[in-house]
Amino acid sequence: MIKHSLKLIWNQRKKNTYLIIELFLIFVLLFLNGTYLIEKGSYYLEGVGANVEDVTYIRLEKKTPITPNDLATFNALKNELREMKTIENVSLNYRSTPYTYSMQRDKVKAGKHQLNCRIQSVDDDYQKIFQSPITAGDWFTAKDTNNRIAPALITEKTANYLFANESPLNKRITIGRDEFRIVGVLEKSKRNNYEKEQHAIIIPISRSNWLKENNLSELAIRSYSGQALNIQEVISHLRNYLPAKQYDIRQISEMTQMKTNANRFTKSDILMSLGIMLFLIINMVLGMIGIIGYRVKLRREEMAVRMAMGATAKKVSQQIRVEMYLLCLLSIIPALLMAIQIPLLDLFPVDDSLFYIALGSAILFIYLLVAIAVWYPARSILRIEPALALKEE
Amino acid sequence: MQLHPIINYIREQFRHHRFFTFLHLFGTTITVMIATMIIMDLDNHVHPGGPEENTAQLRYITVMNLKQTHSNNTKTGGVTLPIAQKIAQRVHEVDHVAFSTTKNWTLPKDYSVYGLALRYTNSKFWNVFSFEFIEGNGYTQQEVESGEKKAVISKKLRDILFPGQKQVIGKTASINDESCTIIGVVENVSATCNQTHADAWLPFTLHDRQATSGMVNEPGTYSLSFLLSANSSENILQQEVNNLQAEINQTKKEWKIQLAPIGDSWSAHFRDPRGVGNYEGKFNELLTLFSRILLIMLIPAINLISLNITRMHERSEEIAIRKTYGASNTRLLNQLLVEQGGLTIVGGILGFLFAIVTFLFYKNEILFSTGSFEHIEVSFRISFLPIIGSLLVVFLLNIMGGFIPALKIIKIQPAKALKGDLS
Amino acid sequence: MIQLTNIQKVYQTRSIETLALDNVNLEVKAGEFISIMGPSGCGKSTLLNIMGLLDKPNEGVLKLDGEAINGHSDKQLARIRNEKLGFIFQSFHLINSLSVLDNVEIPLLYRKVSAKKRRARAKEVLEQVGLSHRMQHYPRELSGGQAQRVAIARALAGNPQVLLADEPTGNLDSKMGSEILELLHSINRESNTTIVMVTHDKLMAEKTERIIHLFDGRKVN
Repeated sequence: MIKHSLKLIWNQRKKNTYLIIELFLIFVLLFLNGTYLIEKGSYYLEGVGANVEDVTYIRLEKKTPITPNDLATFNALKNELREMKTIENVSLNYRSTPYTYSMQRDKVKAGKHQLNCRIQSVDDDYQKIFQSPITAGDWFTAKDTNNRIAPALITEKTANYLFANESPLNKRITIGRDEFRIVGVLEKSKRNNYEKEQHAIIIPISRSNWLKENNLSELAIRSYSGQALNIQEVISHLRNYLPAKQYDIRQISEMTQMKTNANRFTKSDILMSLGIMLFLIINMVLGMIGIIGYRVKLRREEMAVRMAMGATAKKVSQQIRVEMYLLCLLSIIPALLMAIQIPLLDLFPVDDSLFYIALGSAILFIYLLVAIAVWYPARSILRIEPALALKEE
Repeated sequence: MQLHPIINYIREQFRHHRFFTFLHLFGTTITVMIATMIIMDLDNHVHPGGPEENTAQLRYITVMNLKQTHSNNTKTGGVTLPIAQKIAQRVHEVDHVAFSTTKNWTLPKDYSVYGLALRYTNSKFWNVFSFEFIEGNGYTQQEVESGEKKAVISKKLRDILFPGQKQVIGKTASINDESCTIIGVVENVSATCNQTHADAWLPFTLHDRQATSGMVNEPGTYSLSFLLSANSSENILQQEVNNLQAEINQTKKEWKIQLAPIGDSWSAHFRDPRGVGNYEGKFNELLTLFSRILLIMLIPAINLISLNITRMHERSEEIAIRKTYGASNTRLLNQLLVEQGGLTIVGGILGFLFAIVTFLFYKNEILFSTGSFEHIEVSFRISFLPIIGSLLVVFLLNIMGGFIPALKIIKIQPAKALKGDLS
Repeated sequence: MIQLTNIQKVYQTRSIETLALDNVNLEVKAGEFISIMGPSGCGKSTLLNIMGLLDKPNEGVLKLDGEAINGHSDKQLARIRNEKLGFIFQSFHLINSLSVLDNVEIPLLYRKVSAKKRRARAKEVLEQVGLSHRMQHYPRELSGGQAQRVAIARALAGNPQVLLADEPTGNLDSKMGSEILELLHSINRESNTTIVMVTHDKLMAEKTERIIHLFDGRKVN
């Protein structure tokens, strides 16, 4: 039966050119879109390694560069803010907050390895605000921070790159001319949900570029769950230590809103590509229903003859289905051959296993579409009356 | 070309071949809709209208590099204030040079926190761009130089600061902790106007960072805008800027500046913000746009082809008879193309309308998908570009989807066809 | 072999009721070669269709090979058709996109026969009708007579007891028509296959054993 159907569609391939081309194109589109969605989806599901619920972000710009004395000022401010009933904790950091657009990068060396890393400059309380999971070692304490060799944390991704199978704890790592000692490993750190994770190292803010010709300071305030933050009150506390003559408040935002904004661009990209994909699929399926239906109509006599020769209507209907599935196979084989190259040449942006998932899903999906398209025409075969179809006059 | 047979044909298609007609319309409508939206998106970003209406004569420099003399270390950002001032003063090829920088301003009011934008500009800003003043006017050179605290606000800000009042000239308001006198109120400026958008405009002398901007080891935040006059030459202007740049670099030891080449609104929108390299130009962007639309059109077009082949099959008897009675191939071709063209045009019109409606409802999401969203003002305009674009798409669909099948069908032999043999 | 008793067939369209067959009684013995003749629209094809289990009579009883066809499911009818009947049509009804050999195989596809056996049997019948040299050709490349012979081979592939031929020579010239008739006769003689042939052609009908005349759905003499 399969061989028979195969012969049929092979001999009719010219007639079916457009159908084949469409199936091929849709398959390619499904696969490309699938990989895009899977890539973005896996990035999204990874999270950013930080919990931003109930956190408010404040961006401050000093009119003159930050000096070491300012650290004490900020600490005093932090203490005063912590006394507010709704505030759980406050952290000072520099170019480290998720969902912001500021970033610092530099070359980082460990042993023989070297790579470009994001540098996150944070205080001891950063971990309490963002609750990033730590997979080895510990966050740094005030005691660590004052050591001659400053402490640092790296992410698992960076640890794997620099130290492979060894434990990174207590190893030395240099940023520029400064040496650090690794005291802990964070699960991950990303700037927003859809980004591919970059290498990152986390160092104390008192030992960072925050103090080198810089005007920017960033605060993160965690309020108690469900409690709204009274911004006017926060600002008035702020102004007790950071007067308007010296400091500009450039931004106050709730971080959940910042998260939405940062992800918005990619999200609309995804929605748009899904929308266009949906349209093209519906277009193709409707077209297929029409074309297959019409072809079935043209072949009524052939079907009737087969029934005269002893096939049940059901069998003939099934034959049409098999023909379409074989046609689909014919259409996607060139694409499959090309797609197989991708993991071989290591062109896939994420794990190879996800590639197979994308490919498999594309194949399943296109067969689903063909099944939908062929359903109605195949059913119409069951209604053929051979006697009428074969009427010679 | 008579309308009547076309309308007849369409009516008949609706009655007897509902499915295929629906499919034809569906494919055409949504394809045109998508194409139109893509074009409108581009158009609204490159020609945002409002104060930046005069795209033909506006030119910009928005990016500046600082390169360390003896290494590859590069910092990229906007132009610094002293450099902007120098260029504004010394350039002669144009009459008006504007420079401006933005700043976010959080205004807590009545339990809400408004995220607003401030723009600090020079006085020529009002000459370069065409703002629509509801009341008053912009600040003058003298007012800027003397550091007077004058401000121009948008209608939206007026309604926030002075709810219910229509005449606010002369009143004072606290803008960014400075008490300013309102000297002008303008119509709201869409957020798509990158170079002019703000809720309040102030003289740059009020900007508190300017004290520190004497040092040039950091890029700044200003962008320059030039208004070409009738006899300005862009080349000469670029030359003047290059000379100034060389002059500035002569006095620097550690960091050399490099300004981006003067560009129009296309380059301002598409230029890679990390670099001052050459912008390949309009042509590339249009090509990318065109190929994207073409790719999206491909599947509906193929659908249309097979759809029309099927339809033609059904009409083969009619066509065979027409041929027998002497219709020439060209005449038949015309008839077929025009008939199914009618349907495509209906789909095109619908698609265009759908695009506009969707744009109306989702203009924020489509045009402004980055950045903070609340209270943002986005308006869009429909120029002739999307209209032409969608017409072109309709035309292409017609050609691609109708021409090929029509060519095939007029080649049938009447005698065979009438017997049912369509080989 | 075939027994029709009081067969009545009515065609119902939206407003018109057509009486195609009215109280037809007929008996065909095994091994007989009979013709059915009559003017256009007299119900010959309908009669053939009923005999071929392609159509159900409104009234009356049909017996095939001793078995009464009554309340059989579609599946059962299909099986009977497959095993006991072979059809030949005026316009051959070959499948254009399959080779001659693939066309002839078709009845065997609907039986549980191995591919090897199918091929062998198809070649055998093609040999029988004298067309084994055209096995790989396509129907478009055949003359009318050759095409009909392939159709006959196809009808014989399943070793049926009855051949039902609806105007088998209608699309052929007189020379080819005679050849086909010759072929049918030889099949009838050699395998004792019952043949029921509907025809317009008086000369051909007279060469068969018995002629049934139909007029307005009734048997006439």
